[in-house]
Order: sequence, then structure tokens, then C-alpha cells
Amino acid sequence: MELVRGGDSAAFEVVYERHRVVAYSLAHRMCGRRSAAEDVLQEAFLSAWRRASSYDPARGSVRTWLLGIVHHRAVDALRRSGGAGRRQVDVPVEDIEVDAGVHVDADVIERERAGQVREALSDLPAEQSKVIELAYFGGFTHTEIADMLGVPVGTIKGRMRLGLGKLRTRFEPLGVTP
Amino acid sequence: MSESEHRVVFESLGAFALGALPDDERELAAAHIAICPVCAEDAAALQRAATRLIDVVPSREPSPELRDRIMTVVESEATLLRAASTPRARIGRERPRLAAWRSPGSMRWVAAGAALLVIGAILGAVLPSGSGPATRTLEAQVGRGQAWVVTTSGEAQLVVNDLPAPARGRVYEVWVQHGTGPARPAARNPVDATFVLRSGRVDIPAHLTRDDRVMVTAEPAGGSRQPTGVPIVVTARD
Repeated sequence: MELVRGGDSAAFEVVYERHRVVAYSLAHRMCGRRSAAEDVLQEAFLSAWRRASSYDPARGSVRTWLLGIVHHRAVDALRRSGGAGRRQVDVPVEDIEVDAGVHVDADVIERERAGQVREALSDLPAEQSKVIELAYFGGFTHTEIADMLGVPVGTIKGRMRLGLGKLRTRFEPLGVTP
Repeated sequence: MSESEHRVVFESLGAFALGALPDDERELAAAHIAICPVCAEDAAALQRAATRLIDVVPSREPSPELRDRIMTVVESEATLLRAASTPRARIGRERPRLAAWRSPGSMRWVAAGAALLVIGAILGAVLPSGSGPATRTLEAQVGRGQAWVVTTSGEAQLVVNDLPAPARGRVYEVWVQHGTGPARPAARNPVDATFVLRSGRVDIPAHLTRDDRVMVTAEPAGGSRQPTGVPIVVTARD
């Protein structure tokens, strides 16, 4: 990243190649369409290139930083597009199926990581995992989720805090960098 | 930072990490996190947990064309940055203006109530060929350093080269002034308009028009909602 900060385009290309699949997978999961996902990815990577100086290794890995930017851009795109772009949230995380054109990575570690996350999510109370999925993959605000589920905003915020806190407690001892 | 603000933000950190806060609350939380180490640490840990959710998403390949589109922009901007670092780009065509700025006369000008200190702003369309007709560049000299604002179809980027280091505890903040209106932070959340690098690129998260002027001031960490210092960079309007 030091080279990227200095304006080294070749170093940035290495960063892109290393993270493009996971970044695009997230964008596609949230936006549901290839064109929208690619727009998000382009905005996100150019933002990362131009704001490389804002990366702070003390706050997390390059992967976490980049995926945070991708997520932020995808949320903005979903909010701009209104409800039309949010169909993907109707599919629960555990029910996502691999369709044609999906790159299936047979890497055992990746499968293990996915299994850990699925298990942790399924161990959460349903009302906590639901709000986490609606927010993270659907791009909904806590207010929208509160309206959707008919519960107070404070309750939704509490469920998010509690649920994500449990995931944090569950993941941190595993020592796997996001 | 008040205790009530801390409590409100702390309770919202789950929603913040999930991207579920509306824009106004997100700005408030980000500004607080920038100055509260307790919330900053918690937010980072919750963000890491949220990022793990991606592990359950099936892997998909973006198209090779996307890589080409991104790298075309990156390489053109890298070229601009390299040009900014060459000795030739520092040839002192702005020296007379800098000298004037340093002279007692210029200080009288400031003391006389000039609102802004304009440091040698020049205008030109000096991008390398292939940058596209919608690209324009505004350039300013800052002490020994230089600054460019490159605008392409409204998307703007500040390129700085060899800026003086901001004082301890302070950061640079980018402002946009539209017409004769007040200068506003270049991002809705002032902290997003700040930077500390001395050479490199800073994305200006605002859609610029020909009536806009870009300024840079040194501000307290976390940024300010109104400029508290004299601008060290002011671009001209074209």
C-alpha cells in the first residue's frame, strides 16, 4: 500500500487483482445485477486509489478497508435506486445457491470460513440475524428496517449492536483476518 | 465531546458498521469516531466482524473490461502525479507571486481584510493527451510545493506535491466555494474532506462546476465545518 500511496499504478493493479473477486462478489450480492455491481466496483476502486492515504493499517487489513469502501458505495447505489435494486435481500444468506457463471473456488480454507460464518449466523436469534442481513446485504437503514418489521428504531439498533457484537466475539478468537 | 453524544454514537456502532445509519447519523458517528478512541476501536472491531459476512457470498469474477476501465484511469492519473514530481514541473514560474506573498506588502494585504490568501493560482488545460475533452486542470503553487485540481466530467481530484507538513494535531481540509457563497467542506462530513499527505491524490467528493473554487486550509484533526485558517491553496475559476 505504501507504493500505492506514492502513485504506483502497477502496485495498485496488484491490489486490484488480489481483491477483485471478493469485492465484486459483495457488490453483486448487494446490487443483484452485473452492470450495477461493476459500476460500484469501479467507483470503489478508483476511490481507493485516490484515497490510499486514508488507509490505516492499525484499523484493519487492506481487504477490510477495501470491502468497506465497496460496501459503502453499494449502499449508496441501492439507496439511490430505491426499492428496485434491493431484491437480493429476499434471499437468506444460508439459502444462496451457486448459479451459472459463478466462480466456484474449491479452496478448503474459504469453505471453512464460509462454514464458520453460516454457523455463527444461525446461532444468533433470528431477529438479530435478520436485521444484520437486511442492513448489510440489503442496504436498508435502521429506520427502514424498523418500518418493515414494525418495531421501534431503538430495538433495531440494539439488535444490530448485540448481534454483531456476538459475531465479533465468535470470530476474533479464530484469528482470521477479514 | 459530550457524554450524551458518546452514548448515542456508541449504541449506534452496530448500525454504523453495517452501513445502516441514514446519512446525517452516519456523519455524526464518523465525526465522533474521529475523536473518540473508544468508539474508534469498537467501530473497527465491529467492521471487521461485518466484513466476515462476505465469506458466505459465492465468488464471482468481474469482467476483464472492468479491469481495463479502472486501470486506464489509474494509469492516466499516475502519469499526472509523476509529472508533478519532476523537477521540470517545479520550475519557478510562480516565483514572483510567491515572493509577493512572502513580502510585507502581501501581509498588509491580508491584514487589510482580504478574505482569502490566493497563492499563485494559474489556469490551464495541461493534461496529457488522451485525457478526454471533459478534463480540465487548475493549478496552484504552495511554497515549494504544488497543487492541482483535476476535474473530469464533474469528478474532481486534488493532486498535491511536496506540500508543507501540517502542524502537529492538524490536518488539511478541502473546501469548495460556489460563486460568492461561503466555503463549505468538500464532503458532507468534514472529516471526509481532510487529508494529511504531502504528496499524492485526494478525491474531492463533490461535483464541481465552473463556478466552484477549491481551497485547502489546515484545520484541527477531524475537520471543521467552517474554515478556521487562511487557505494555503486556492484554485482560480475558469
